[in-house]
Amino acid sequence: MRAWLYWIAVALLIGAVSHLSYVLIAPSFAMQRLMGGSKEDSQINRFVLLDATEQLRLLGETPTEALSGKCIFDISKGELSVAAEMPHTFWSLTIYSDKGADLYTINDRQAGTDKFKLTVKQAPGVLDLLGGDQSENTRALSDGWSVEIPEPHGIAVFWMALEYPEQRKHFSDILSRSACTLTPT
Amino acid sequence: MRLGSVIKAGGILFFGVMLGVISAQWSIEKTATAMTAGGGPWESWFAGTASIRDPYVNAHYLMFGRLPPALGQELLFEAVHDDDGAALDASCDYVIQGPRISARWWQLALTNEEKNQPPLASFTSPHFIGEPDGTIRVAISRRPKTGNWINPGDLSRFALVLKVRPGSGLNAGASVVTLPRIRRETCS
Repeated sequence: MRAWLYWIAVALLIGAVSHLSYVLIAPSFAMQRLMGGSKEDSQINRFVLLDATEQLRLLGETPTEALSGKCIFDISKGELSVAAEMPHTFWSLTIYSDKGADLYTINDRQAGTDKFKLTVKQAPGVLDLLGGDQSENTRALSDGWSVEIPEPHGIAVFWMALEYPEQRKHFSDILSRSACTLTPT
Repeated sequence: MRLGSVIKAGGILFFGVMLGVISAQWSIEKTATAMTAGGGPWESWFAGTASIRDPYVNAHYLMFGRLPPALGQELLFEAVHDDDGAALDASCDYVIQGPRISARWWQLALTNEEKNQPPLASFTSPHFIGEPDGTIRVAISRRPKTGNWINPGDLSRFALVLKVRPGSGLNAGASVVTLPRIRRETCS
């Protein structure tokens, strides 16, 4: 009887670990697949327009419905400068961590402009806050659009609505002028 | 170690893992909380107002291969049943009807029942033909219909996903959005 209780306790413990892994860890791998899973340096910190297949996979929208781009980033060694060039339409820019959390989002009405620069940097850790110099934060925050995010890896998704399919070519030309650039710190 | 002990340990491990995975899937599916204002079969896993995301909510979207909706930008509603609670069956005709959706952009998409595939058919608000009284009406049928029509194709059962982008950037709650009803008509 005691042996059975022991094995049931072991099974419940394994079940709890599996449950938490499925909810907390497996979605991170799913997000990696969703981001494209590219670990090549040439694909990191670089803006790319999404083709029809990838847009459908990532956003569930056809090329006649919307236009989108992405920037997979790694800011563990610097700051990311996002220079967004958006056409005059309904657009949004959302930054997700590589675990799928939305960290920052803005749309055309909030931005008030179709051309803006956003600096993305990693938020300081607890040790940095205790011993670090805060002047850098103050400079960054007073320098227009700036956001500090808790995760060094993630994806910025640029999205815009198409009123009619013929807009795609024109909007692609404008959006493709966007850039993601890492500035080492 | 005896063979019997190895088999017993393997069985316990298998049972424990299955228990954990099945309970996690059940918990994720039961996390849908934000029912819409007009009732009906639509469900949402994302209330639209929480600044800290429930990990079960994130898991719901990511494990089905979709990006979670961004806070303040997007609301996602899903339906796998009609107004009477019956599964959405592609051999039947449906009419989706209701008040105009108050948003700058929205998309109604038809996908497989598990909702783990990209939309098989969809249309968006700019391409939508409104009714004279301002309401929306969409027909789902394998046979061509006048007006707004979505063909479920070869699917046997399907799901509907309504993506709403209010455009204000404010944290509109999913529970205050009035969504159209899904009415079954004839079945072949």
